[in-house]
Amino acid sequence: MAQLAPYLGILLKGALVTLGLAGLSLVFASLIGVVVGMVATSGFAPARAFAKLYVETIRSVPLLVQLFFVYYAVPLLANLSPSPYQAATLALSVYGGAYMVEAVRSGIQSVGTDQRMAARSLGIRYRVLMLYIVAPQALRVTIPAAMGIFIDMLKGASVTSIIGFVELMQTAVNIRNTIFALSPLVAAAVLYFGMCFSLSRMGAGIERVLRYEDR
Amino acid sequence: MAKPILSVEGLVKSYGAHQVLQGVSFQVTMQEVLVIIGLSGSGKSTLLRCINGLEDFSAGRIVVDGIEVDPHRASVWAVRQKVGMIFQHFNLFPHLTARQNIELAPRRVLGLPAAECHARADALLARVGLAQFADKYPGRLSGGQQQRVAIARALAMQPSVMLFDEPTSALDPETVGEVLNTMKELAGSGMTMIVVTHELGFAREVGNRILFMDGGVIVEGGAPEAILSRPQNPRTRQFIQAVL
Repeated sequence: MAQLAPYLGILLKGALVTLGLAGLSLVFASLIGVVVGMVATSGFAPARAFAKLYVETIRSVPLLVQLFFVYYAVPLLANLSPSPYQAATLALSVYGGAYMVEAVRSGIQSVGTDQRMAARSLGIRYRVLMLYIVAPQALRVTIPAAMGIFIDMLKGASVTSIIGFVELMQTAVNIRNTIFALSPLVAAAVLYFGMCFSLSRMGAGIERVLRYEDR
Repeated sequence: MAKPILSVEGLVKSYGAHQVLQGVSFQVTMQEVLVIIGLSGSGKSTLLRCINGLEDFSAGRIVVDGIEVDPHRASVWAVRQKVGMIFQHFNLFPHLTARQNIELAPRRVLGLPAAECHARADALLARVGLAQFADKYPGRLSGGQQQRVAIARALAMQPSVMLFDEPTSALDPETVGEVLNTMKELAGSGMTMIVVTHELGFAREVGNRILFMDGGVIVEGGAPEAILSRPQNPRTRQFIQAVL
């Protein structure tokens, strides 16, 4: 362990890079989730089919394969050359987005037809319905699920080391290759656990705050 | 006869091969309380939902306060603002307090100032006897209280007609009375009402006219006393005997 001491700083920095990558991807994934989630619950069948295709495709292909696709195939197809960071962000956003769509969809659908009918009978239209009736209740379902997805994305970010992006995992591997010990990997595991466990507790806290039955 | 505020002509509604409404026609005049009775599945609830454009219909014509009801036209929103609806299961918004439930539509649909909506909600809560429950969430209210909040919520849009779809069917017996009293007060204030109910006592006491529906048609209609005491049609007679 003593060997590891000088490297703790860069390990922590790696953890922050992982958190940053997952965090930025979460923002994009959430945007995808809200937009495609609304499409997925719309009355327009072709749009719903598109949403389903996206969700099912992404969820049925490993993140690693998607990452390779974004990093190696997209440059060939689109004549772009994304940096590892850009490719990692894109792949992780699209991956997390598919799960977010499902979280948003189940949130929207948690608000029953009873309430929608009551709203319509009061003259409340789609925009007001979504903003003031559906969204506040959907969040109660969507946010805890989104925390779980964020945790998955944060762990999934370790895969991006394979295209040469240096985050927590790659940092740990690099240190291991320098000091020839397992301790950097153990330290990485502890850091992953610390981040994910805190997020999970945070999710449970948010869930408690969002409950209104007991008020 | 006074000018009708609502008219339904030859209304037909089918789900696939099943005809729920098979040519229903009637009119309602200002300040009238029309009570519709009949077995479950006779098309009463469907009829109410057609009136404020919550449901499409296959044929016929509905006119509310001069506006033709067509769920596919934007004018249906004007109809919905004129017609208040009370549901069997109250359908309050569970994430909003009683007052917020009432304020929402005046604030976000009519765009009235917050202070005015607040005052309107409080006045209506007082009217239905729930002033002290303004800040309670629906989950904390009894069924009868929730239904009274729902009535206040519908009244906040100052409708010309109120539709009641079995407003007391989902209530505990001890809270039925408070809802019926609220409805009676409303009728007394001159509100035009169509009430689908099994409460024949209410129909007799508050109703101006009763329609008996069976199999998607109006079998018989007339003054409450006549329908309840001297029903002409055997099906009406059978129904009233079963309910009483």
